[in-house]
Amino acid sequence: MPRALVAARSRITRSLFLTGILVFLAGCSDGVDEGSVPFRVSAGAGCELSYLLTDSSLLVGADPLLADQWHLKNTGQNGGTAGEDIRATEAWAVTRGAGVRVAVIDDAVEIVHPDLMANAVEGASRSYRSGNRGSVWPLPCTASLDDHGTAVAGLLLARDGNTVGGAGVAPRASLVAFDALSGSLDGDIADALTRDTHANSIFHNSWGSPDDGRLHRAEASFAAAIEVGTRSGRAGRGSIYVFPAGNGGCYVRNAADNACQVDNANFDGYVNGRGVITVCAVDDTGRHPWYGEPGANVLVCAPSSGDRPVGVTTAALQSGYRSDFSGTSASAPMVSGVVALMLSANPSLSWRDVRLILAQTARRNDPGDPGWLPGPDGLAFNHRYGFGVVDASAAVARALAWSSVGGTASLRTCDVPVRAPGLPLPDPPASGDPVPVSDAVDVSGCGISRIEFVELTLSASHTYSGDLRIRLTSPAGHVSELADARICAGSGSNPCGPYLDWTFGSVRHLGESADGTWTLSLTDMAPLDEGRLDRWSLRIHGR
Amino acid sequence: MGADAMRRLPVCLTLAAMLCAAGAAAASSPGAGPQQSGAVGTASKPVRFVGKSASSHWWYDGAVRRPLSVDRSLEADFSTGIGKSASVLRPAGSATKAAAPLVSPVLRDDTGRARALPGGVLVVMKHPVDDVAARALIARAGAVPVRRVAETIWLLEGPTGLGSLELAERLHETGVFASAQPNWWIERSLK
Repeated sequence: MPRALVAARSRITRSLFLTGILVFLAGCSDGVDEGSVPFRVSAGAGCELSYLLTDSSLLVGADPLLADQWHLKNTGQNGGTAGEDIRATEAWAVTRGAGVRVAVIDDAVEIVHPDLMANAVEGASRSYRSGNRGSVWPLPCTASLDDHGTAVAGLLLARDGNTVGGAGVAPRASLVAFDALSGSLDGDIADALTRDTHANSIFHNSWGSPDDGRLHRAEASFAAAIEVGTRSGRAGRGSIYVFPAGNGGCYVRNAADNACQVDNANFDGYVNGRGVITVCAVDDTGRHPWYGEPGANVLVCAPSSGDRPVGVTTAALQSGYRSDFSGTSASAPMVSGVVALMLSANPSLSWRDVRLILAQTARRNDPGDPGWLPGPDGLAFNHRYGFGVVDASAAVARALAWSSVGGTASLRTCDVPVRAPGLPLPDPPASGDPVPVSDAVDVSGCGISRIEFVELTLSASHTYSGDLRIRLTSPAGHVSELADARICAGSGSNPCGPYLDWTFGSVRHLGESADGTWTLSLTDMAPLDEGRLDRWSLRIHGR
Repeated sequence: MGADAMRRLPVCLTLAAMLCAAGAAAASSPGAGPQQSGAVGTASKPVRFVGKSASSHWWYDGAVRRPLSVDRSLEADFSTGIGKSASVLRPAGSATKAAAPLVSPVLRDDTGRARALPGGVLVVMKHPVDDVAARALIARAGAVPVRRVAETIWLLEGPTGLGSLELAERLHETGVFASAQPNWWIERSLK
């Protein structure tokens, strides 16, 4: 461990909790001045926040906010249901994440926060903020705008046993931070997602496309970055990419009946690829929150806010804490934390192993929900919950005993030729139910007996794509619910966006055999607009 | 929502109704986490004028050619560096003369999402190639490399504004690269 880092860690601790010299200086930031002790850092000239690091020693003791962190161990302390948590404290008997490096990609991260600094890797973070580009201090610039990444990092790996705050899911994992969302340029995003993939095992992301019901593609450089990371990161075992499913479960309400228009994680191109772990949210009773998005691409859930005003407790700016963090931004870092525990327990796991273990060990929450659907080997799936709530204890135990299926090099891919049926998609009849339009393809000789991921690429010309309900049925009769009818705000010619070579991802068919008849069906659910199923194709990945 | 419910929705038949649909606020705003949509919105299928889209530009999104239209009410100012990503957007014409070289028009893609061009083009190689070979490919395509972003991804020089859109289109059409697209600034949401 670099000596300078030890010094830096201790400085912030003393400044906060022994001497009370807190470290926020307004209006006098000019970047980094590390020439002497104390030294000052900031996100660049003109920033509202800067940080003065002073000398002290690291403290050891209980975390005062740990009992409030119901997502780690839910005893019903906030009125929720006891046991509706991620079983983190049980997993800590085996590991707390030591030896695993996690990159948090966000707007900014207060890596000098007293609950983060002890885990921060000196010199490994990077700022992409204009005016601070290339600096190793991706710090918040303004208190009102740049508060997201710090809360995310706190949930993931806030230090335990240091007398302050609470604990992250993997409280001894190492932190690097990239503020690529501060500028939101495609090149910076691709750079951050592939930076130091030999050392950074997990790339955590609590961001995505706008939650507005529209089809948002991921840029080609994003897809290429994920492909590079999963293929070559971690010496070929693959980088782990975690993203939130989104918060668009009620992106707008109907005037007539007050019902919600529901976005779908399958409409966000960032989470439709095989290399991304897509995370949904449940509330403190284990149920679907009002903002949750369904999706055939959702792998697992983790706790977050719900209908009651109960958020999760985590780090906040200026060495503070908050108990109101919410959305799938809060649930996703819990899954990254669990992955850090898994990799700490078994560093040889591939990116595919991690996905399989998460799915197989997830806890089936809300068992009375009618959306639970059967799958192979008793592995039930729910479009609102994926395979259930992540279970840190079970995942770590499984990781220790796991026999790897390999990484990208051993992944089999079966490309099913493009079909171009050119079928018309008529409006629903004036009375009676809308009629699905279907097209089927026979798949044989794929050599995949255990599916891991399915990609459906679709072109359907339609003057209002939001009218379409889209389903894919596997040879086993299991259905991926890929799109439902919705209304999108906007004045463009097709405000939900066109299905033009749009790729849906699905984990619904995990463990199934690829061979047999696959059926695509599209149903026009609303009047006024019509279209045509132009072409579609399947890519099936597995072993 | 079933078809019956969809049909019960009020259908806007006027321009005013179209505006009400366009103005329906998203329930979640970037960085704020989910926010309950308090007042009832006005979700309804807006009247659209198919065929009268003002697409003035195109770009290759991977292999897909997509239309873009200029949003004449806004511009993106990349001369300042502080603050959140959304802060680059300004009312059109508000940038100072000194900032002009770093100001991009704001374009809307076919989902209405705002995009701007800070400069640079991102190309993805068809296969992993070493540095020398990659630079040779880029030079042969008539472009100048800035740096390798990742194994197969390169950032190339390109001007702020529409010049990088045109360069990306030209590079795509050479067929040398798996993809070539501007180094876009786009809206992304913290969840």
